[in-house]
Amino acid sequence: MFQVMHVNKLYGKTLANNDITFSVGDGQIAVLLGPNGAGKSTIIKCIAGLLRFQGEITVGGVDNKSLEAKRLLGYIPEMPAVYDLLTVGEHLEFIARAYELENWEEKAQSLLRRFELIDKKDKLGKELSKGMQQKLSICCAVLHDPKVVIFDEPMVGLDPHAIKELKNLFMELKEAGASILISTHMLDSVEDYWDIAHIMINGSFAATKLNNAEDTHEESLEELFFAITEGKTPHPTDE
Amino acid sequence: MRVRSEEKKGLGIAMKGLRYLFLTTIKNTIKDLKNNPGKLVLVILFVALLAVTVVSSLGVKGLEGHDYRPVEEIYALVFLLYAVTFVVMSYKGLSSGASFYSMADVNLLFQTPISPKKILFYGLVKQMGTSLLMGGLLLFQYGWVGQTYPITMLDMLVILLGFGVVMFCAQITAMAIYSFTSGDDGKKRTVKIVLIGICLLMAAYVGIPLIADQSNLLDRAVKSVNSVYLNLVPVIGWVKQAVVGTLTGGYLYLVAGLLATAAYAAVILLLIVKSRSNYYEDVLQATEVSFSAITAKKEGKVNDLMPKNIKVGKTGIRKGWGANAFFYKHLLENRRSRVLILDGMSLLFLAIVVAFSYFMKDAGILSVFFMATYMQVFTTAMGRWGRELTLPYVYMVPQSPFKKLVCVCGESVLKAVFEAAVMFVLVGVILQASPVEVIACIIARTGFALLFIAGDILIERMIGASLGKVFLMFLYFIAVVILCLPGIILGAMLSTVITVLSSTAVILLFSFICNLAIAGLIAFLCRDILNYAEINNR
Repeated sequence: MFQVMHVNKLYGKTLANNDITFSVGDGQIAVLLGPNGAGKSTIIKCIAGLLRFQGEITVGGVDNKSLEAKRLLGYIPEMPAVYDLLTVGEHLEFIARAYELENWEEKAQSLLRRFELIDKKDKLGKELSKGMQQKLSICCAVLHDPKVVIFDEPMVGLDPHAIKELKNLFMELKEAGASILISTHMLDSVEDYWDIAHIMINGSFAATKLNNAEDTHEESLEELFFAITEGKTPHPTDE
Repeated sequence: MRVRSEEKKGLGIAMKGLRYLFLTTIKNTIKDLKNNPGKLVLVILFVALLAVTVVSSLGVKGLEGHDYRPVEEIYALVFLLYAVTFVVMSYKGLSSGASFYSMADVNLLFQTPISPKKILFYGLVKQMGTSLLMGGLLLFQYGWVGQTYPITMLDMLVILLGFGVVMFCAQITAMAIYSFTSGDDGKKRTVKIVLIGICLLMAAYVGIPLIADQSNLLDRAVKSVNSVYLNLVPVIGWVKQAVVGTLTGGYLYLVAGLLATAAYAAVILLLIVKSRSNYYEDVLQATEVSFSAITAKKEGKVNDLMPKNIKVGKTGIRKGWGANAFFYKHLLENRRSRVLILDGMSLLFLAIVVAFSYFMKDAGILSVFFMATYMQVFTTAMGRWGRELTLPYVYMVPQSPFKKLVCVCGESVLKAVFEAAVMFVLVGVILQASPVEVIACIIARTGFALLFIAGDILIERMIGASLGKVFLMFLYFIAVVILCLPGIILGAMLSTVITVLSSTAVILLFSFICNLAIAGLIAFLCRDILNYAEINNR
């Protein structure tokens, strides 16, 4: 699991994250929703250890910048993180070497196969389309079996097959007990598998909703999102 | 009549739109400085330094009794500078063209109903400004130029103006070459042969007589470069002649040079506008290429700019475990971008240093060393480690931050050691220096490389992602100058005490020890930089 406690992040004078507190348990899928500029990517980068912040973030009970935490973390950035001059296969080899993984080849093959990259194994990063780069980024992030996986707008630019595979991957990670955080704009793409949703506006959480399939009277996630972001009804936290 | 007046009205609005865009961009750039105090301080520092350099040297000429080198040498240097600028920039037209437009210009401006000619004019005005700004860096060279040659800051400004004109002509030449050769390999080959042919002819004209008779090499090379034949080379010779005319009061040369250059620019512009009904298509791709080049430069991934067709060759990183996987990955990336340890820029600087030592044999190995170190400041700041900071892996890999820091800088260190060895073995042979001096130079240069890398880390640690690469470079430049001083002072002081070795060797060896200590201290103080630095891709 991971915990975010009272995190503030300032860019110059702009408060990008304002006192953010939440946690995601083992085997839980949390989604972060919000309009552009709400601060979703910022909090995700803070959790991944890529930005400085005030407050505390722990991964598996230890500080998120410790080596133990880094071993548990997987991060898929919004812009694909791909080296221009490495081939697809070499990206996975690099991750395996840097993370000191043994017997990684089989898993690498299976990831490349399911994301339809196996025939592109010897293609350079710069030769891939944006969608393919995104798929490669996903493969790199999960090769070391992370226990906490953070996705920043993972569906953007993916083809339908890759979206289906990614959704399957979410479920597999969940079943394996990983804590998953997904930031997205595409409400319909997360409608069926989230456990908890946080809606962000102006750097703060405006609402939190649990996925309660039995309660048919409750408004849908989409209705709640528009109610809050379009300011139609002031909505209290639903937790 | 009515149609005409409406057309006129539309034209007025179009010009207003372009003027608005131009002025608002400048205004907002200045306003943005307010939100970025670090940048503001640097801009003020930059302008102040430039102002001090200009004002303090205006009108100072020919100190009595000062032993200057012949002024003809500076004319030859001006020719070389203009020639390299013009040829390199025009050559770009063969592959990518050059573009005065940003991606925003292409995506927004080209869709508007403003006449393409007006948009071309807007691009040219913008480009002229950029050319002069880039040339502004030349003024900082006045320090050594003014010391060595009897020329004033005003003369330097004239040379700068000429540089702007050459850059401008090169840019439109590249654009013309691109629009006439794109998609036609035969034409491309022809232009390539012509361009290379002109360069070879010029080199042969200067070089062959020198090989035949090796006495007074420098004087005779300068004479050849300043000869009437090379002054007739389009743009390069003409602009140089106009500049020399201004400096020496030969106004006939000035007028002739300017007229010829203006005619050249007019013909090229006419060709671009008239011959192709639509230059947008040509510009579009060129802009995309130069946009990715600019982005790459901003991110510090200079080496990733490579020919379109990369030979993948053998696949697999094959070595490295943990943090040093970064080092072996860098070696593989270097191989792919056709960098055999030394990249193009290093090879160019290597050639310049070797040529310098060949022509200035009397200056001694220490002068060559300091000149080479001055250039080293620029090559060291271009390692792969800057690029690594823009991707998440270097922060996320679960290895000690210090180990990762050492491994991502490893490629730069290896390059520096190799470069030092090649350079000073060659220089040593040319100058017939003693083996001790050559080894001292190699060791000292490696020390400076470590110091410069440490300076780069220090700046990154202190300033981080909040500044553009150009300003980081400027700050880095100041930092390394300050960091260099203790070593040089210590070496110079001890050279008067220690007599067992030559003073050159003593200065170099003690500067190495001092630089090594400073670099080590900085590396120690910044050992956690990869834990606390922020990803540099905003």
